[in-house]
Amino acid sequence: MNNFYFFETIRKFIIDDVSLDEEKRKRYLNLLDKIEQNQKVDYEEAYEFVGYIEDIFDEAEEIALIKKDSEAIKVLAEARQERNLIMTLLIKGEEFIKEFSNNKINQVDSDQAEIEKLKQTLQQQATT
Amino acid sequence: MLFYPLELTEGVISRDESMIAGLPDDDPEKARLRDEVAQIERRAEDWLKREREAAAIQMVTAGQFLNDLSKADDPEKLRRVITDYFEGETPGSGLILAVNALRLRTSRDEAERMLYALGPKDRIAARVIDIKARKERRSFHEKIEREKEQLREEMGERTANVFEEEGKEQLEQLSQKITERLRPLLEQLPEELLTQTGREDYITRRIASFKDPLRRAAFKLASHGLRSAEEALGVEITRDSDGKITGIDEIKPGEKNNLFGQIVTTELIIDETRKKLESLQERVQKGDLSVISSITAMGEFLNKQIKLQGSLESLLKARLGVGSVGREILDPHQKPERWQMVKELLRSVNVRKALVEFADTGVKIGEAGVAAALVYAASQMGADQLHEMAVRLGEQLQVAPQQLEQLLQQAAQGGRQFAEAAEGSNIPAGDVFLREISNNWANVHKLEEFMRTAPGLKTLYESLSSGLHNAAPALSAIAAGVSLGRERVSSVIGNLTNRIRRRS
Repeated sequence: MNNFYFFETIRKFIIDDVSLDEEKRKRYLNLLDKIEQNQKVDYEEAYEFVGYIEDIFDEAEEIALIKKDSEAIKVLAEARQERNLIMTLLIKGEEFIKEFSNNKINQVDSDQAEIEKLKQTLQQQATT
Repeated sequence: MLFYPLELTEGVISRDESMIAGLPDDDPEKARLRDEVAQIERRAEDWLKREREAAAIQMVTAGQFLNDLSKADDPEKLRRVITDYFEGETPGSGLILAVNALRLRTSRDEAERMLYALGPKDRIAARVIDIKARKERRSFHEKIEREKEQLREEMGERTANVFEEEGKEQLEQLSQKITERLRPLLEQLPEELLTQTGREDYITRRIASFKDPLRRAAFKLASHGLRSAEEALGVEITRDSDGKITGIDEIKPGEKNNLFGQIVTTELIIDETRKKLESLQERVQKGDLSVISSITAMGEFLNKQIKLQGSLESLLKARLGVGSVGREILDPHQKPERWQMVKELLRSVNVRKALVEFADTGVKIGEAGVAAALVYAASQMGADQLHEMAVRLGEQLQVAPQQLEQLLQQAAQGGRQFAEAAEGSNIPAGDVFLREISNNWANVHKLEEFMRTAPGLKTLYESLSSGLHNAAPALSAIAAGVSLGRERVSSVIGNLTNRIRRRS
């Protein structure tokens, strides 16, 4: 287990990013503070911020490809898959949670049916 | 052969024999020395026998490997063969590497045994043997590294040539082969996402299709990472008049570093290395032991290329948005440890708090983000539905302790019956009975698990149904969650970006 603190990582990255001008750097850091404090943020800012993160990943992927760095490519592919998944869950919304909850309840129901069946079998065996 | 101890043991023996010959027959020292010489001879023979056995195992394994390699007629089979022989369950535990290690260990162990078996005056000879064994081991590994370096240079030239005029025909064949392999993936995409020109239209159409503003907003966020197949691969896709994919346009030398170029290059290297490996069959059949280092070098090189190929395919799937890891993460039967994290997160309704807490305790941010999305998604359900689910879980929870008690009694009773029957050698219904007892215990565990986790789920449903959750911070938290927070990702990005100020 590590004690990784993800807000700090992003914050440090933004501070060190030489491609950002001071205005953007300040805006992104403010955005991060708001998120950390659970305050509502402006949607357009969040949209721009996700674009910024995507650009960084794109750049890293291109460099990893040129270097033929198998491990880095794999890590970046997994990170992209996870981003896809988070977004997919957000977009699927209600459909997903219904499916998820029904599966859970069906599983409990089927376990109970199995338990009943076993009880009967064991009772039969106990009396024979 | 790695090394022979005999030349040295022979030296010890001949010196001792001349000494023995000079002693009178009734000298008790003569008999002792004879015994010692016989002991050294036996050990040397033993050593040679073990060396031969280990070498024979190496040759048989090499033959098996080349045989399996020739039968691997698709990328998946090839990957499995290479993994079996050069990777194993953990890196470095493949069969070829294991038998190489066995051979080297045999030599080392024998040198050590000899060291302690000989009398004090001959330990010097044994030490020489030991030093020689170490040298041989080092030179074996150095030879492998040299051969790998040669292979890298050779393959570098081959791949450079294929992108020049002289390699045009081969490049076309390879492109066609890869296109066929990618076709099932490409055909999963909406038509607009095949080409770069259709991407914007697709995004506009999809955004307009969502009635729910939050889902619409989420899709817009996600569209940043959405790529057309052409963009993902770095090529132009050609289609016939029916829209069917006919091929991928010729790639130019300048494009060999894009994803498609890399997939083609890796395929070429795998093909060529494989051919070279298969050409070693004759040397294996002749029992030429020097072939082992070549097979090891080529196999390790091939393993690396196959790993690269796997990573490139994963990146391609991720860029195309197919083969999502969603099921893996959320299916409790596949990834119990991840499932546990999601369950823990479900107990917390406050998304930000959950994200921070779990980031603090080391849970990967991607997974915390998934759980946050899950909580957000739950918030989109009607309060009535959530309340109903909470009530249903509550009912099940109420009867669970009683059920558990009954099950425990019956499991114990079943066990006693079985023990009594087994004592009298009268096992009722044999295996069936045994299986049922085991199932019964499995159900006890399942019920215990349910009792442990269901309250968290119930609390979540209850909290959500009372309108506690606020989706807006969840959305923004996820915007941050799509980030560099995971340690491995953060480290990779840190190494692979020109954006970071390098501190001296």
